[in-house]
Amino acid sequence: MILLLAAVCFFYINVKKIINNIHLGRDLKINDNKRKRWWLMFRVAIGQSKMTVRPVSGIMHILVYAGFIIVNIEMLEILIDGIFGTHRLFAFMSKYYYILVSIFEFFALAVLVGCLVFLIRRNVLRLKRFWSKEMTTWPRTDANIILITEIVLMSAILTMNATDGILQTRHEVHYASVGSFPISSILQPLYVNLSTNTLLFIERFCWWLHIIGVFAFLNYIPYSKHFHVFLAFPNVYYSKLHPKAEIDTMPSITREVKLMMDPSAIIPTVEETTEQFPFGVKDIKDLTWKNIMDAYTCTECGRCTSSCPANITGKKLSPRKILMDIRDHAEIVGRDKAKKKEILDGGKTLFDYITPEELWACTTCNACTQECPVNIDHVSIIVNMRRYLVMEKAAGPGELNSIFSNIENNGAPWQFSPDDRLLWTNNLEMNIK
Amino acid sequence: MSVLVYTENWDGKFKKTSFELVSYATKLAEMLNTTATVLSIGQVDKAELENLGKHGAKKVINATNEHLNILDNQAYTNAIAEVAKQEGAEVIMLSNNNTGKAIAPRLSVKLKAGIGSGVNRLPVSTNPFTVYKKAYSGNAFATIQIKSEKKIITLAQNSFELIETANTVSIENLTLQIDGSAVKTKVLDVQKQTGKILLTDAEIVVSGGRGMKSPDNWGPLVELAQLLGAATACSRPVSDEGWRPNEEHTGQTGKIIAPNLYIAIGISGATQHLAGISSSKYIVAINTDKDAPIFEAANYGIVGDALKVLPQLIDAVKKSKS
Amino acid sequence: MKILVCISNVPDTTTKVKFIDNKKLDTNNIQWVINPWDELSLTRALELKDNASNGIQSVTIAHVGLAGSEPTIRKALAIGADDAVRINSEPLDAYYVAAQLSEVIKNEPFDMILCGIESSDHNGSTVGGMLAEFLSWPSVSAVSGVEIKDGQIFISRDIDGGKEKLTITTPVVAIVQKGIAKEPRIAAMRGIMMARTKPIKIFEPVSIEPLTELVSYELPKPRASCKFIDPDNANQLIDLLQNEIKVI
Repeated sequence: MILLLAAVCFFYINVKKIINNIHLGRDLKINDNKRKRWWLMFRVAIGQSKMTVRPVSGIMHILVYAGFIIVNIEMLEILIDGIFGTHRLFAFMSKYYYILVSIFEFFALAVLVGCLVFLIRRNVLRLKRFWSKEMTTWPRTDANIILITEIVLMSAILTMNATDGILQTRHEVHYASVGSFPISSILQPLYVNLSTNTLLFIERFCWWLHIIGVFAFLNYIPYSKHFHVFLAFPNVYYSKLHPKAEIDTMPSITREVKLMMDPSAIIPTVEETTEQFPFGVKDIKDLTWKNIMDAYTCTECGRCTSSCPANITGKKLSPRKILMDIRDHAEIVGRDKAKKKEILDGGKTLFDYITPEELWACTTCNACTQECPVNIDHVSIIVNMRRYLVMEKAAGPGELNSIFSNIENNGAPWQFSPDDRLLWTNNLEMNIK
Repeated sequence: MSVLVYTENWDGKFKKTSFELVSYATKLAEMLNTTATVLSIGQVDKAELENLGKHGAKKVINATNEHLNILDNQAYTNAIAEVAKQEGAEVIMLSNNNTGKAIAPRLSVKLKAGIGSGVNRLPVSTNPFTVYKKAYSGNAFATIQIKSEKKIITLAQNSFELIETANTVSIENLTLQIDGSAVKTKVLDVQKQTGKILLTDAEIVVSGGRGMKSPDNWGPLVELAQLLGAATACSRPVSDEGWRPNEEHTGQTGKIIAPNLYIAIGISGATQHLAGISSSKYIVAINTDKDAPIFEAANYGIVGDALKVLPQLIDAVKKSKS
Repeated sequence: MKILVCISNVPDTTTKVKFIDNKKLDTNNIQWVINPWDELSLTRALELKDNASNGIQSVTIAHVGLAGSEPTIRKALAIGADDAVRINSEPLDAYYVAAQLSEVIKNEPFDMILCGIESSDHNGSTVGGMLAEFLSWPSVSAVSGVEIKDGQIFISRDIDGGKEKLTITTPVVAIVQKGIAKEPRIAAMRGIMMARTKPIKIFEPVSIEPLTELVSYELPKPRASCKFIDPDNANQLIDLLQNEIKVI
């Protein structure tokens, strides 16, 4: 009981921290097209439509994901048993109980196998996208911890059921006759020769291991990429519905252009010209809350980076790394802010994590956003950081600077005289006036 | 009211530009019915000073002072102004090179003498004193009248024919008085290329562009340059890529040169490159593209592959030498 | 340290120059820009200011011109200069311009003046040196590098076939050429917005007689078209160059 309360409280506190960090970003209203959004969430998040683009990993993940949800229904019985001291409270449903628990067992096995396969893909087969530069010790360890925990928890359930079954045949108190269950039966031969006391110990041990494991895992999740199990759904709901290649316009620039075309219009005061927000994105507070939610939803799967043409051809850009950097920075900023520090994250900005070289390598092809199973929009972050470099600092690559100058002076991106614009018409057969 | 010419020396030696100045000054003096006096500052030996006489000088002032071993603009301006006053010069001439550009404007204010800078021919008239020069970066020519009593002219390099005379030249030695504490410039370090023909001095230049395809193809180009006694140059993309050293880059953002002959190989002729070479007397272009803009600026052209044309040129030059 | 950058307003380099009555530049359809060499000096001044250890308090722009040059001055402010000074007069000739500038500058505590070595319209290469003489300041010309270290100024000067590294006392006029900065800076959106509120102080000119006067302009004669030589008989070229025009 105490454990339950402690676990839930602790979890709530950590989730609140993440929500606060997400709110470090700018306000943004996303409340249009509700039906389209629900359908998108159903298809992509619940339906895992983007995951199955890679069939092996997609199907395994569906099994693990479905298994996770379904097996946790069992948690209901375990919680009530724990609080009220009962044992298999719902056993009174007999036939239905048998069917339900069998289903749970089947999925527990599926999850176990799935996680094993995933462990092999990561650590033995060493798939490229799990070993990129940004996948340092912690991200890899995080992934392994999650998979191993799942395997342990599922093994606990199956072992628990197996020993429970044997104890029933020995007519132990508490162990009502519910029969043995399909999968755990297979395990029974392992335990059948052990003494009753040992079996009791194992069964209880597994029960407690499972419940404590679940509480511990629950509280581990906010510190891990596994948080995506919660965030994936809202993240997909709030995704960008516009066509992928469409980049948002900036109302503050529209006002500037109007002023340039008509200098007699109202000139803003010095206060107005140094707005609270810069053009583009320099730091966490300039990102929208959706951008930060994207960072917390990132599962570090690497599908984005492995499909990025810049990354494939050896450039420094890795879309995954950008999201991971934003999360790292947001975590430290949030922590410093809570501690009421004057200087957050040692005065670092996003540009201390993400270099201009990475940003300029992006071709805005949107392969990353296409591949992302949780609908993260990497490109809008990259474009907004570029906007900061160009519009606040004029720090774009030299080629861009000469293009801007040429457009300003010659009306075209090249160094040709505007008087020569119509030269191409000279050899045409028609007469152009 | 004479003409005073300042000729710079490089480690005690004069260059073609110095002799051009003397030739011009002699002709100008004739126009003004007066004589030309040459001023040389620094350690130059007698034989070299007498060379000035071969191109028209009748009198040379050999001025020295230890404080003038480095170019301090104020010190040099004061020295030349003093000599100009002494000689009663009406027109003072310098070359339109880096040194001339550093001194002439200061001299102009000191003597209240109007400047005609970068002229490339004798004055259109002497009364009123009117000079002719390039304007708008070579896109036009301007005729300018100098209204002040004293005048300063800086001469564009390689724009005036040398005259040859058999003069006897009188050399007057002068020790200048200079207050050392007034010399504010302190030179800490000098880095100089030695051995190669300087691009800015060369009469013939052989230049390569991106059309040469690869730095490995430069062999024949360098060979042709050696046979012709020419300096080598290149266009901007070639120096940006690191195929050739930065010093060889000719163009608007590189060196602006005025050789007698400029051979452009595999160079398209973008405006920025032409801005650096348009003062060349003759331009020859070799390019595979018959529509390349370089052919509009060139006097002679060959539409062909440089790697096939260069060997023919090399053979022809070798034959003509034997 | 306070830096002054002198700029002149010139037609963009791709402009096809035309004249009215061979005396005045036809200003129709001309795009005016900051003289490219002055743009490079401004860039270097701002680079020096960016480095806090150099202690540059401000970069000021000075210009001699009528109200029509204000957009160009605003551009320089947008690129990053702090304030500007405009002497309200046509730039009659280099001597006149330098004299006007010195009248205003001599009363202000500047430590270094940066000027481009020439302007792309008159190609005079004179204003910088003249200004230094009017102010009786030392000057260095053909400058391709300016550094500040421990409050001292170090200059790279181009000489024939090489470079000199020298040091000089302030106040000083540095007359700069290509190499002083890698690429000219451009104005960022933010800079353009802030430039509107930066001050441009206007001075009326003092009475000075220019020493030179423009008589006329003329356009160059069209070049004779290129004579082509057969690529398989390239030796003909050598023959031509050697015997006909005698350049080799």
